[in-house]
Amino acid sequence: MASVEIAGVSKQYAGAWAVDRVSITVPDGSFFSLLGPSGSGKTTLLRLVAGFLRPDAGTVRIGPAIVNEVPPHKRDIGMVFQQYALFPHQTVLDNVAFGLEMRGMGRKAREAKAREALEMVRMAGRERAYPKELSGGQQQRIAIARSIAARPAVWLLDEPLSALDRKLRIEMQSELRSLQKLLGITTIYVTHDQEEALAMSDGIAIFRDGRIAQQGSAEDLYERPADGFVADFLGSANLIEGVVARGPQGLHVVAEGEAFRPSADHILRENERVHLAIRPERLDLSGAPGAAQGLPARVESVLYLGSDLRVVLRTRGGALLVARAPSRGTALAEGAEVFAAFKPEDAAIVAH
Amino acid sequence: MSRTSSLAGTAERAPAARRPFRWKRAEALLAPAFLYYFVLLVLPSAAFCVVSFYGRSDTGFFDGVFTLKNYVSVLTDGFYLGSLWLTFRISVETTLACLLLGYPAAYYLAKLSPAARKKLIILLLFPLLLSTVIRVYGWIALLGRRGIVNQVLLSSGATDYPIAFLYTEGTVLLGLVSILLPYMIINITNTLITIDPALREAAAAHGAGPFKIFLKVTLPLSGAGMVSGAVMVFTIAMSTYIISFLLGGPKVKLLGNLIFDSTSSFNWPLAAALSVVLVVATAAACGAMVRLLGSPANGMAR
Ligand SMILES: Nc1ncnc2c1ncn2[C@@H]1O[C@H](COP(=O)(O)OP(=O)(O)O)[C@@H](O)[C@H]1O
Ligand SMILES: [Mg+2]
Repeated sequence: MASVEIAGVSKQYAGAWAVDRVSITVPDGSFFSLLGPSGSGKTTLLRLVAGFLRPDAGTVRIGPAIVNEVPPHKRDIGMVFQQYALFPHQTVLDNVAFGLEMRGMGRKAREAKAREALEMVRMAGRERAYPKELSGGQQQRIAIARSIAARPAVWLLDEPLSALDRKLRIEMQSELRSLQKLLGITTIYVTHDQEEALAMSDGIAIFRDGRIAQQGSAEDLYERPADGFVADFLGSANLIEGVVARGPQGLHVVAEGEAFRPSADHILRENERVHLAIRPERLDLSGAPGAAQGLPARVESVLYLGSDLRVVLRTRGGALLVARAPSRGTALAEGAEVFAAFKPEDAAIVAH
Repeated sequence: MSRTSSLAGTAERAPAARRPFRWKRAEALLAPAFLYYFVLLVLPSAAFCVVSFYGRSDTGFFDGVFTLKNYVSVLTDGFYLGSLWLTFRISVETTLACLLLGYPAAYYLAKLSPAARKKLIILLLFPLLLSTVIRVYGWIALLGRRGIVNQVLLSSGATDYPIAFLYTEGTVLLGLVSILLPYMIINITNTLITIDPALREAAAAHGAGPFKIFLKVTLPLSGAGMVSGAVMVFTIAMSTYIISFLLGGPKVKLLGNLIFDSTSSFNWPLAAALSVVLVVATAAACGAMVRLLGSPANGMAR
C-alpha cells in the first residue's frame, strides 16, 4: 500500500487551467473524495494520478516515488470508470482477472483470485456471462471487482455510482466503503454528490474551477466551511449577510441590526463583511424571541416532506431562510410570525 | 433499473392495432428495391440455375434435355477444378495481403482527428473515380514487355532481356490488392473508431502496456471490421474478371474468365453451371470465415 501526494499540480487544456495548483495528501489506507460541481476539474486530477495525463506543473507521488513520468500500467493502480468500461469481448471472469493476467499470473491462480474478488462484490456465479448480459448495477460490481482483484496500491474511482438509481447507490456506498476498509487500500473517489462524499470519506477536497476551495474531514467542512460556496455546496446553508463590529465583549457579527456572538474558533477582523452560514436543520422555530439569539421572520411556505417539514422564512431584513423542522409537533401556517433561533456554534462565519 | 422496466412496460403496452400498420408502411418502403432485385436479380439467377441443368444448343440458349453433365465436367475436369482452386487461392492471398497492408493504415487513420481522417479517406477513395480498366492498364504500362519497369531494368543493365511480369499469378495478385485495399482499410477503420477509448484506458489502468492493449483489446474488438472487410475483398476477388483478363491473359484463367469464355463459345449451360459453382464456393467460404472469426471473443457480439 502507499500514500498519494499531489503537490502543486496544474494542468491546462487549450489555455484554461482545468486543475490549478492543487495539493492533496492522501494518507496510506484512507478514503479521500474529490467533490465539486461538474467541470470543476475532479476527473482531470484523477487522470493525473492515474497517469493518463501529465501535469504541466507540480508532482504526483505514489508512495515515496515521484510518478510524473510513469505510464499508467506501471503505477499499480485499480480504477473504476463512470461508464464501467468492461471489455465486451471477455467473460466476467476474464474481465476481473485482467489485471492479474497483465501482472503475469498463471491462469489457475488468477482465476482463483478473480473468483475471490467476485465474491467480495457478491457476483459469484456469473463468471461465464458477458458484460452485456448483466444489468448496470451488476456491471458496476464487475468493474469494481476488476479494479481490486490484483490488490493494487491505489484505488481510483470516477463517479462510479452516478449511473445507478438512488436506492442501489446508497447500498453500494456502504459496500464500497467496507470493501475499502477490508482491503486497507488508499482510495481517491470522485463524486459530485455531497451526501456521498460526507458519508464515505476520511478526507474531502471541494473543487471549484480547478482549485481546491477547502479540504479537510467531512465534519470540518460541514461545520466550519471556509466560504459561502463550500457551505452551500455541502448541503444547503442559509447565508445571512453581516459585518464584524467591536462591542463590550469583543468582536461580534451584526446582521439585520442584531448582534451575534461568534463561536470560539472563528478569527474575526473588525469591519469585515461576512456571512453567517446556518444549516436548515439547525434553525429552531419553536422558541420565543429573547431566549436565544436569532432573527424574527415570517413563514412564507411550509412543505411536507414526510418526517420533516421544509419551512421557508423571510426575515425582516429581507433574507430568505430555509428551516427543517420535525413534522410531528410543529404547527406552522403561512404568514405566521416566528423566531428563528440558532446556537452560536451552529452559525459558521464565512467570508463574504 | 426502474428505467429499464418502464421502457419494457411501454413496449408491452403498445397497442396491438398499431403494429400491423407500422409493418405495412415498412414493407411499402421496401417494395421498389425489392421489386427491382426480384425482377432483375432473383428471377435471372433462378433462370441460370435452371439452365445449368440442360445441355448446350447450337441454335438456342440450351437444348431442353435435363442433364447433370455440366456439373460433372466442372467438378471432375482438372481444367475447371484447377481454375476453381486457383481462383480460391488468389482470393485468399488477396484477402490476407489486404489485411496485412490495410490494418496498420486503418489503425493510423483511426488515431487521427475526425477532420484529418475525413481528408485521408477521401484521398483513399479517389482511385475509385477511375475505372478499374484504366487502372489495370496502368499496371500494363508499368509491367509490360516494353513497360516502364522493364525499360529501366534494361537500360540500367540489371537484365539483358525483358522480364515477363504480365500473365503471372503474382501480377494478378498485385492488381487485385491495389484495387481492393481501400475496401479493407475503410471497413477496419470504421470498426476501430467505434471502440470506446475508455476500454484502452481501463486496460492501461490495470497493467497493460501499449502492445498488450493492442493484443487484448484493440485487435479482438476490430474483429468485426476485419471480417466484413475480408468478406468484401474475398467476394470481389472470387468473381473478378477484368483484372485477371488484362493481367493474367491466357495463362492465369480464373473462374470468371472461364465463364466468359463459355459464353463466347455460346455454351450458356456450362457458363451457368460454372457461375453456380462460383457462387456456392464463395458463399461457403464467407460463411466459414464469419463462423470462424465471428465469435463474441472477436468482438462480433457487441
Ligand atoms: N480533453 C479535454 N480537452 C479540453 N478540455 C477539457 C478536457 N477534459 C476536460 N476539459 C475541461 O477541463 C475542465 C475540468 O474538467 P473535468 O476534470 O472533466 O471536470 P469534472 O470531472 O469535475 O466534471 C472542464 O472545464 C472541461 O471542459
Ligand atoms: Mg468528471
